[in-house]
Amino acid sequence: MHLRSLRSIVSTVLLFALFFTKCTAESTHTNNWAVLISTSRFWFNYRHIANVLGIYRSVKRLGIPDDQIILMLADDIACNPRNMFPASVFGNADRALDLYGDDIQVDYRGYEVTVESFIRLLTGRVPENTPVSKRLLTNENSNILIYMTGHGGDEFIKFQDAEDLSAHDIADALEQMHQHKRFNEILFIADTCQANSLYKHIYTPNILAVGSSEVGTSSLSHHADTDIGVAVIDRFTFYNLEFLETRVDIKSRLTLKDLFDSYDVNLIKSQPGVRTDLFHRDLSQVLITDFFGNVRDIELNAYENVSFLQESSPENKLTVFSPANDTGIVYPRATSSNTQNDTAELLTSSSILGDSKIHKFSPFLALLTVFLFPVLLLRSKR
Amino acid sequence: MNEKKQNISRNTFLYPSLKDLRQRRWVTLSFWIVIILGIPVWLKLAYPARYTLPLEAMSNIIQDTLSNLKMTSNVKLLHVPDQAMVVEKIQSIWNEEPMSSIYSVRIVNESVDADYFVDLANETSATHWEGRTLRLHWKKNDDTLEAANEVVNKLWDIFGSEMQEYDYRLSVLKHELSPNLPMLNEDKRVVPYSPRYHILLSLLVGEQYDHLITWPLKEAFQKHFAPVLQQLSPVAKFHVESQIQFSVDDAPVRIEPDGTKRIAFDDLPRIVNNFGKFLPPSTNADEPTIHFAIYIPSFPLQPLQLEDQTRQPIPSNSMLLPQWGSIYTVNIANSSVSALEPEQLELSFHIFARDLLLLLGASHVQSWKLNAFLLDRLMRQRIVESSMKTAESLSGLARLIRFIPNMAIPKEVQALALKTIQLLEKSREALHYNNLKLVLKYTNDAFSTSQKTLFHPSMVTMMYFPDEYKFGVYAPFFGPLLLPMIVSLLRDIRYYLKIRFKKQTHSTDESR
Repeated sequence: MHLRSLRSIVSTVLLFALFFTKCTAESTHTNNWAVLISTSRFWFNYRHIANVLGIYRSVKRLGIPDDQIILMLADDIACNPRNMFPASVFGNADRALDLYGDDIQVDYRGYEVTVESFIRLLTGRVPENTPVSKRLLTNENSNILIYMTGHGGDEFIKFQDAEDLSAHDIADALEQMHQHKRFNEILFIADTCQANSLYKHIYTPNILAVGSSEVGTSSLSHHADTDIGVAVIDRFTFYNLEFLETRVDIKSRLTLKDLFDSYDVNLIKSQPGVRTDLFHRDLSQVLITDFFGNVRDIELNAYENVSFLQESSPENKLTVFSPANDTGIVYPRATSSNTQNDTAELLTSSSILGDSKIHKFSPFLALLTVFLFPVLLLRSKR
Repeated sequence: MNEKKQNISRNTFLYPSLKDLRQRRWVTLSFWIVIILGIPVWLKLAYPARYTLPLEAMSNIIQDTLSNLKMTSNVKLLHVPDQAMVVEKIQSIWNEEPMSSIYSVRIVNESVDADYFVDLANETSATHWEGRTLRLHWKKNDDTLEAANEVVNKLWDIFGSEMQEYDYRLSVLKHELSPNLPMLNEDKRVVPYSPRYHILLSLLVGEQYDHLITWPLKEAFQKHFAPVLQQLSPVAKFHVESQIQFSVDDAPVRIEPDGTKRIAFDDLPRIVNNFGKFLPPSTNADEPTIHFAIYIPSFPLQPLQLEDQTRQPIPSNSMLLPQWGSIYTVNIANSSVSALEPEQLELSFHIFARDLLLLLGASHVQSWKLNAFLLDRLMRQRIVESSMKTAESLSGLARLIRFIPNMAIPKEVQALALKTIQLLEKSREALHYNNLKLVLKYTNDAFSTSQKTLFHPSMVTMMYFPDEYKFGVYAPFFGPLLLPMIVSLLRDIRYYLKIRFKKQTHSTDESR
């Protein structure tokens, strides 16, 4: 038997085995991102900011760095004139932990938290000059945690009292992310009233969705602080945070099934829902740190053979092969975005008529002329 | 006076004169003229511009790209022991190996069009590359068949892994593989693909120093690192920056019973999170950042060694973080040292150069020195990757456009999409001339353009009246408005017809 043919047979068998085995246990992501958004503003929605900041702290504690967290808040609580404890946001009436602290990084604040900016963030179609901290720079190996809280209803969530985001738009945005290979798996958590309706229309694979209450029921707040005067945390988020803070650390092997089994309907006082039909892995094998923590694989087998450390540097004169004429090394950068000069012109010359704002007024203009014209005619008669 | 006015107005209403009637008709007509003229203008403005894209070409682009992506390398054997027969045997065995459809390696007889040479005369040193010649180490054998097999096996070790990798990527692209496969190690390690990279060289000095520690960076960089970047310039462009950070939080240290200070393997990720404040991501979204950091611990914690999983110290005292960079821990001689030694920097740059090659996609790299084959292999890998990614982006965009018929497609997107297709065609032409550098330049440009196309900000604009608005807002708004207008129009038409009929009967009466 030829050595070559034996090797090729073995290699083809191994290749086939590799191609057709199904490994459900291991997660195949290399980095973790989190998009945490509170969609409401004003003082009486204190608890929504506290919800998001509580999740933010947990996620940071479990290892996701700030560069990989997109935090969207109205951020009008800490310095609100009605805040008895200025520059602080508490998630608990005992005020033991100041969630606001001095090192949080809010990426979208105030009026920047809109439906449009949220959809643009998810789909990646942000305006040209958006800084890197406001972009979701994920790839096909990223696991994303999306946490939304605020006021919601049947298949919509309210954004800052001015607009709402429908469940269809959420589903379409997630589908676009899938088409553009922007995620490996997503855990979508919503803590709003009738939150389970928000994930009803999602049709993209590899998404696991959790809602805090069924359609037709509300999600309730947990408790209020008598000094602050408003409710400081919601029940669903409170019990999630309790689980995360007391039982989960960086090395934890607890799974999402443990988390979901810990939900007690009597304590949460609403019926949380989990949608697993689009998720291909079994919940008892999905670690909580797959979404709430960060993967930091250290590779050390690259250093088994370190004989190269004793080699000497090459001379500048390259005799091996011809060097390229351009050095390829750029010392300090003069201007940023020097590659976009050919499209910049095209962008600025886009027609004003293409702007949607004008369109919103054109029916009113039409009606105005419709009414003015006969009035002018009648006046001339007298 | 008032009463008279009222009588007059009531009279004009009940008993209109001809002039009043005409005026009334004009009033009604004017409303209708505005509506008839205004609605088309409004609709034309309301629909967002949707320029045509070559959707057919874009949907088929994956097939087109893959069928045209064919690279070959020619290998010539030198110093073959028994000339004619062995070469033929080797060629026949080699040609039976499974070559990838994207890349194939041929063993040729003429040295004119050979890309690489394999020298079989070598018996002493290990297999290594010298320029474009591979000095192969193999056991000589009298039996020609066995010798040929041995040579083919060794050549397959060198050239075969690349072909298998391309086959794997092809299968992934065509969705022929199960989605739950474990990933290749390379995929976990390699920095996200980009034609340009930003390299950040950092010196992180621990907390407990009362003086500044610097490094002779410029000379060391020019001598040890810049040549590597220069040689890599066909592969990618590098923009290098450096920084020094003082008073960095020290890593958690475990002190062994015999006094040596170690960082446990489990604590290594925490170091990275600690340093994360000082090692920011790139400020330009188009240039992924690769970090290379030298960490000088506080003097009481020195000499500090990193540990692996088996609690053995790592010889190079550095760790490679996939998709991020590497960190090298340096121990200094005494606490009054104010600058790193040039030798320490040389060592660190050797480690960083080797890590850079690993992070760019080279695998099984034993040395930080580049050779021609490694450079070509990197270029080929990037050609394949950028072509596939460009094709995927375009076909994804075509799918998206078909799926959302209301989406705006501005002129820029049309221009960018056409430019991407043009660049891909140019790269195909360049492939015929086997000029890898030119092909890579075209595919890199095509990739950048396709990303701009796909993520163009104005493709979020859609028609601004969704279905529920039509029923909830526009119908109750315009419905009641239309009612009096239709009624008055009908009345006018009826009156007009009555007059016409009367005229006709009058005329027939008169003619009688």
